[in-house]
Amino acid sequence: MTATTNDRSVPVKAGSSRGFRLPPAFWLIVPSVLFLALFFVFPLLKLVAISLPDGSLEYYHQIFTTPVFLRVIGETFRVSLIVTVVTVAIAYPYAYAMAHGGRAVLLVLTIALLIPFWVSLLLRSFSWVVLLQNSGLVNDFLIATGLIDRPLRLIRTPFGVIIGMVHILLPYAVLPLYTVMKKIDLRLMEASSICGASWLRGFARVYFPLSLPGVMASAILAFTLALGFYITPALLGSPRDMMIAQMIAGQFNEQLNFGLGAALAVVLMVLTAIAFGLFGAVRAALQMRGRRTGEA
Amino acid sequence: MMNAAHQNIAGTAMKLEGVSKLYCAVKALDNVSFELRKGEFLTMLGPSGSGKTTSLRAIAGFIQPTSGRLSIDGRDMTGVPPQKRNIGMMFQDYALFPHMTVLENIGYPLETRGIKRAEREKRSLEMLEIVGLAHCAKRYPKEMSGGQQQRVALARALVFKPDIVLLDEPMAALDKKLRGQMQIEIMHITRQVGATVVSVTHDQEEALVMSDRIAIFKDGRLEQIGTPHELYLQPRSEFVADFIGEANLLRGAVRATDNGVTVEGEGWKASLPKCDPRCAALKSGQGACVVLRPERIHAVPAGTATDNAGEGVIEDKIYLGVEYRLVVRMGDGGKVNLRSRDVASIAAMQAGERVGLSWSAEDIVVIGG
Ligand SMILES: Nc1ncnc2c1ncn2[C@@H]1O[C@H](COP(=O)(O)OP(=O)(O)O)[C@@H](O)[C@H]1O
Ligand SMILES: [Mg+2]
Repeated sequence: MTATTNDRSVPVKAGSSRGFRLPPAFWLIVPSVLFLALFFVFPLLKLVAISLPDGSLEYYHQIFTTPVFLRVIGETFRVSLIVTVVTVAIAYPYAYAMAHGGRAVLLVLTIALLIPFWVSLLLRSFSWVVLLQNSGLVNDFLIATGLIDRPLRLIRTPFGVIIGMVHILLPYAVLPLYTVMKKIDLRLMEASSICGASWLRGFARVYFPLSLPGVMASAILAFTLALGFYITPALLGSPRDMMIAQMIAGQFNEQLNFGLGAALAVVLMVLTAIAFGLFGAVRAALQMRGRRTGEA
Repeated sequence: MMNAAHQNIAGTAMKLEGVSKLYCAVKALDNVSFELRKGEFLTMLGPSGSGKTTSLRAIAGFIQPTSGRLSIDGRDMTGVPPQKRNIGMMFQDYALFPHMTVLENIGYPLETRGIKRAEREKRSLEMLEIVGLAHCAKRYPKEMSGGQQQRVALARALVFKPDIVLLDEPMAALDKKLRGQMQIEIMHITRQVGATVVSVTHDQEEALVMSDRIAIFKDGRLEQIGTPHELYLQPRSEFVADFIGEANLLRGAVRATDNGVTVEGEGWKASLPKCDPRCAALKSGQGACVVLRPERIHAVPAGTATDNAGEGVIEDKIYLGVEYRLVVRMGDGGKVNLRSRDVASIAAMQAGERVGLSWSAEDIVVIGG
């Protein structure tokens, strides 16, 4: 008892003498802040410093005047955008089934969603190689059924990259959607139908708008993760489908051009931040309305 | 034939014929039949689990009956989805669309019927005026109080002039003060627009206040349907007698006499004269239940024996201003409540004393079996 009272009174006294008091919880975040400062913020600043030798912008100038760099950056955004759209489109009905399909469905779908997390990223990308290569399962099957007579080029194409990335991103896209959807009251759909609306109209006018915050969260997550993909495009794409992360790695590992690699990394980071900001602005607009309508 | 059938339909908004709904082994609805007349306010009343919600959802089309037939305006509703039934519904927690303004909410049933925006807004505003919320058109549901949300829900259910309006436990989400007010208001509004209404409640007072007719449900069965007055005066079962208003139920044995039929219990007897049509249903030697309404019993001095009288001990005497309330313990330990405005004669009686009870044959209900 006495110990407790003492414990409480000491920091109060110390704090009030300085006129400013740190909340006790502050000390709980010290380890993580230190860790991030040491292993994230410091290297990041170092990276920026490397990209600006003697304060010169030459590497950035090089990036924005060299067609191959611009193409890779453009391609990265294009692929990420396609991947995001496809991922969210597939995740949406999946999350819907999880949210409203009953307990048995939820269990099966959750397990199916989490199993890939137990398998490494590398292994999963390799399995796609096995499936999609010219003598892979998919081509063998299509040839055996006589649908095609020459193997389709599924791998080393943007198609292969997109399939592999969608597969890896799916769980990340499903979870935010599910969280929002399970809070949507299905009686609103009954109300919609008794108001004379078909299921489709009810979905478009009632369910989908209410699920939009989930769509946004899911898209942000998928898109920002997609921008940084490295292994999957390397295994499933051709050199033409190179994404910016591969190029950065190339500059560091093969060209040993640390300055250019650092500058590319900074560009990726800034562009990601801009994309994030744009999504965030849309979300904020949704939330502004959400505050009045009582949604999350 | 065809003509006669058609004329019959003219006054009938909806008809249930032997409707049953099974959930596994549970009979949520058991052979329910009744007709809803155009323009009437019908309340389905019953305790929790008696099948009210199931009936309402079957009418709305959210569930299909296991057997039986439901028709609206003469049209068989088997296989017709909710959106094609032209029914308005106010849900228990209103189910307003949170992302739409009040005006958009009310306009939604018109939107689904392909009515253009300008016309839609005009009619929604008219409806909003009727429910007294014209100044709230641009608000969102979450920005309104429970009572206001309820009015919006009512407006949305009425705006497209549906054939039938369903109200699911309309007062359940309101606090007590607001209930009385909204009961009257909903009654006025639905009358004003000439709606045919089916409401659901477990609150007998609400049913009495609002309804033209009441359908009483028990264990999935329709016990009795009638005007509040009919149900009060002629309950056909102990359950109905007990559910509508206050009732004393006295159980006794039937005996035929020279003058008619008598039902006797310990310390009381009730007699019906020979000419009374109610005698036909009563068989000598069987049991019967006599329903006595508290305000129909007179307190008289003990020892006043007549054909319709009883005697017991006063257990409580409560003065309520305009009337006295007496609780009398009968010979078999059962209690009888009575209310009397004859304040002067009751004032002289004391708790613990014996008291005589008397009533007239016309004021009692005898339920055989
Ligand atoms: N979806 C359902 N599944 C199984 N049983 C149900 C279902 N809906 C209702 N019941 C059962 O049917 C009976 C009537 O229920 P309900 O119509 O909700 O009663 P009320 O609305 O009068 O309280 C209850 O015994 C209830 O348990
Ligand atoms: Mg219910």
